[in-house]
Amino acid sequence: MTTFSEWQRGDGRESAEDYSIPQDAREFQGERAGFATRFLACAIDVALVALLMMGIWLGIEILQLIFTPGVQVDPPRAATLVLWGYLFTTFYWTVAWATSGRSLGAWFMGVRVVNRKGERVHWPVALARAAFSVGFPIGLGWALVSKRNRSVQDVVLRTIVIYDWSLRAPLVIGSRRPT
Amino acid sequence: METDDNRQEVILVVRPVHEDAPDGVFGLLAAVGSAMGAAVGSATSTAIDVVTTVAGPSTSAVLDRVVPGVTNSVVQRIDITGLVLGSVDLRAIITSALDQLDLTRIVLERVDLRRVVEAALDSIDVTEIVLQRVDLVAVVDAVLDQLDLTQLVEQRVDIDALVATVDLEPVIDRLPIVEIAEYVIEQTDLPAIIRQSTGGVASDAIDAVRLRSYATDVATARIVDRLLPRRGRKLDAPGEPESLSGEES
Repeated sequence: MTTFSEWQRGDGRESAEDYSIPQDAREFQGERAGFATRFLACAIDVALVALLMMGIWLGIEILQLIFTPGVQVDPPRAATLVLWGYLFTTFYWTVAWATSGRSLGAWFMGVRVVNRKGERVHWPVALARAAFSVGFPIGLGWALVSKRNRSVQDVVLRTIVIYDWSLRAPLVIGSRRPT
Repeated sequence: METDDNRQEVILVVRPVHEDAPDGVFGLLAAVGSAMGAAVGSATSTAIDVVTTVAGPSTSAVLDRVVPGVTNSVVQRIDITGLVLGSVDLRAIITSALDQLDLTRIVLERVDLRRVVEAALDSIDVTEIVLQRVDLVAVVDAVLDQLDLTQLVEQRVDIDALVATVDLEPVIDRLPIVEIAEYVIEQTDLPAIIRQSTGGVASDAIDAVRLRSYATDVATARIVDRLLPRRGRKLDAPGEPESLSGEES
């Protein structure tokens, strides 16, 4: 057991922000997230958006069914729904990355998008990254071979995706890691 | 006694001189001188007795008058002190006298030691002498070496009463309470306890998925790194120099 004196000197001391994180996961907090985790986070987001779009379509169909012949609303076509899905995903990721740094999928997988200083990304960068990710999703594949787990979007916009299981707002990650 | 007109009778009277004998060794020497004078007088008296016996009373009467005067003159002409100093082994006499005397008892009986000591203490600055002559550090060290202070304090000091007088607030103010709380939280892994007691199946499942996903990341990266000719990956945290450089290698 670490004594209080040793702990004060920093021996075996952990950052206070890490308390909420299980012991096994504390070691890699703040590291650049790998491809699998990021892919799953994106997949969850896309699945949620797809469910939302399907819900919208289903809702319209149900409304039409209930109120026919009173209400006449044509359900959107698949291409329209996909387009809406793209737009909504862009908006959703922009808001998520510019505020907390993570979407629902990212929260579920315990990753966060930050800039190269470890701070919250700015709105224009978040918008550009969201649009880039939606328009060129295969860019994530570069994280497989990148030495620093960077996607094409990360390389272009200088953003970083890190493991961050804590619930706090994004700060400078590097300064809070154990030294 | 009848005498001629031209003759006068002179009668010498020898009287003992009573003087206060000086103290100490000089007193002793005076006593020795007196004893020798007495011895000379005694010898003279013996000689007179012999003459009286041989020559008859008239001669003895003459001697009675003459001899004391002669003796007195002889005593006055002899340096008895010099004679004693030159001829007597004073050291042997003094040593013998000291051997026969119990000086300690005499001092204890005759000397007012309290007065002597008080007078001595009044005439000297004991503090100054101690400060100058005594190695106080060595003395204190020696005393402390012989004492078990811990035991002494335990036996003699009422620690509870002492502690009860201590104002603890300044002490608490100096304590890093928050740090201590963080230390306790960390050492007891309080968050883990809270998670275990309040966390549901969902949070455990999420943690499990995250950990499994991280393991997959590591395994995937390892496979790719083996296929590519390079050593591992640089996964430094953002904010560190390598991240700030922005190079992609």
